Amino acid sequence: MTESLLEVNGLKKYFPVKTGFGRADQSLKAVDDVSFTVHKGETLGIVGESGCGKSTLGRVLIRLLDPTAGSIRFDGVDLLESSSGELRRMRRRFQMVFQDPQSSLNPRMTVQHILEEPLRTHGIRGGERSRRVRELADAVGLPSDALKRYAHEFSGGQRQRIGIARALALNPEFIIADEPVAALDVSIQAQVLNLMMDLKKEFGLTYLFIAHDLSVVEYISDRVGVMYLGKLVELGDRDMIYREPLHPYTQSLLSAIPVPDPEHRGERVSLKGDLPNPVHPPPGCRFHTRCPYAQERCRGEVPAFREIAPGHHASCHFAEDIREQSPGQANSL
Amino acid sequence: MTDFFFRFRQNRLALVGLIVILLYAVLAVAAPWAAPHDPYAMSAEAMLAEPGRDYWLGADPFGRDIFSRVLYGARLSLMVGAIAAGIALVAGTIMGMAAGYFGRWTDAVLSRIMDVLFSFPDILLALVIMAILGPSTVNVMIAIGIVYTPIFARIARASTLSVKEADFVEAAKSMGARPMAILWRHILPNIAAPLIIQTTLSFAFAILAEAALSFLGLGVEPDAPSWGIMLNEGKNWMEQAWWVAVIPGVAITLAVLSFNVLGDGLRDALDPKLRSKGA
Repeated sequence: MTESLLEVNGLKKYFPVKTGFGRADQSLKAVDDVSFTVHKGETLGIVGESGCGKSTLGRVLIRLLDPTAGSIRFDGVDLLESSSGELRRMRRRFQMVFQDPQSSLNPRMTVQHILEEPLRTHGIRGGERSRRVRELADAVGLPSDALKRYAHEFSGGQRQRIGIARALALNPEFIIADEPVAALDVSIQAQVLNLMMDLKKEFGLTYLFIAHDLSVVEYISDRVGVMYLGKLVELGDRDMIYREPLHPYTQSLLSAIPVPDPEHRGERVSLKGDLPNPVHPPPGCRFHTRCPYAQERCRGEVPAFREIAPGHHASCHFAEDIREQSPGQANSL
Repeated sequence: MTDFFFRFRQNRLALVGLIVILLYAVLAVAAPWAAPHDPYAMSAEAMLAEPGRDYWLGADPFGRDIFSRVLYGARLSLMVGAIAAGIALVAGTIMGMAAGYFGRWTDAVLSRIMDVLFSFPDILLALVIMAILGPSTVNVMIAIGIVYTPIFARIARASTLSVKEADFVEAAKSMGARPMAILWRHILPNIAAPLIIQTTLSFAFAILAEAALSFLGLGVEPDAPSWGIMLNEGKNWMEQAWWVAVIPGVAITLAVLSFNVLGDGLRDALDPKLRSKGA
């Protein structure tokens, strides 16, 4: 469990922002100095508001985007240093499930062709290929007549099963799922999440699960990372994060989850204002503009991302105080 | 695909266009058997003969049968149209897809070349190319093909730019697919509709361009039965023998019109989103 599969260090992705006559002197800091490790066999959930950089993080990790700085090591191999041929071979081992199963499946291809593509790309031919396609369709519970049809003939949930089957085609060890259920009806979300959990057990997968929905992340994750404005602000075991959040941002996110209990009178730590512009992030702690506990120190000094409790990291100057004040209970501050 | 046929059948005009084009095609293929006279055979007695029993659509100043020449002219026009539009389609699509997909300097170089070609009026550019290559049927096809390449390149580039951002292209990249495989399997099938439509329309332009070049004497060989050459020969006799110029003129108009309505019909059927914009 503690063997690491993916190590991310100081990862940055800045997008140049053009001002006026095409001069790119500013940058949008979508991912800014993020470090974490994904252990073999776990599901690491990444949550955050839209625009916090979590999807960019996923795309950089799968090497669809080139990072500005930092390192990504997959099973000990540095993905940024490897040649394009090495990277191509490595790609068999990590795959992606996309958010929108409508746009991630080519409308001009049958399901058969969609599932064959990764196999074809990696030189698997003939009988083995068609056998594997049938296995995949079976594994994700697609009906037997599905292969000859086009993706648009299926419902959203079925389409996402096709997307998952495609990601599994090459027997990967690691799957990055970027909001895989966000585009689905709530009733379908649970089916797809359960399918993903079953497949994880069956094939010994490791997941990086990106989502904005806290309940979905709580359901599927072993550990959870919380992102705010391009930075990881808290990371720890799921139960620690959900029961004893150490970062004020995590606290406010959790207090926004509706509790299905009419008697419940939880205090809501509501956030002031909007997400600041990531081109000009606030100095010091990025959350200070919206933080209920913000002090003078937060405006000038960037808080270190440090281990507050065993296996529980956070970047808030007052994380230790928060932990002492609220042993074991969230939202009581 | 069934949707496509259904929508296409709804459009009566396009259907008529298709039938006229098929009729032209059949007559062109069957010209050696269907033509009552040798299109090259001159005859002093038949000089400027009026339309009648022997010469259904009359004869030209050299006594050649106009009907036979129009049939052989259809052959020439359709062949020039098909090959010229084919050259433009293939060359333009390859360049446009490369420019759109690879971007950066590939796009900069290819797009500037296309801009330069675009900045000349069509016929002037074709004339310049013909002046360099010299008049011949093959050269007409090449010249017209070059002239219409930039249109295909622009359409292919613009469509590629929008399709390459699609998640299914990202998915293919993330599984390690090579650029050629992505272009062939993912981009091309998704940009095919506007290119097919443009091919039909270019067919019409190509027929017109061949006629214009031949009319101006920089087209096919001067004795070839080209509609443009027939038109040129007929223009001096308009007052004595209107049929010499009018018949090939009607042939050109009908062919171009048919390809245009067919192209419009295809656009409506293949891409219903474009219809309301009236583009």
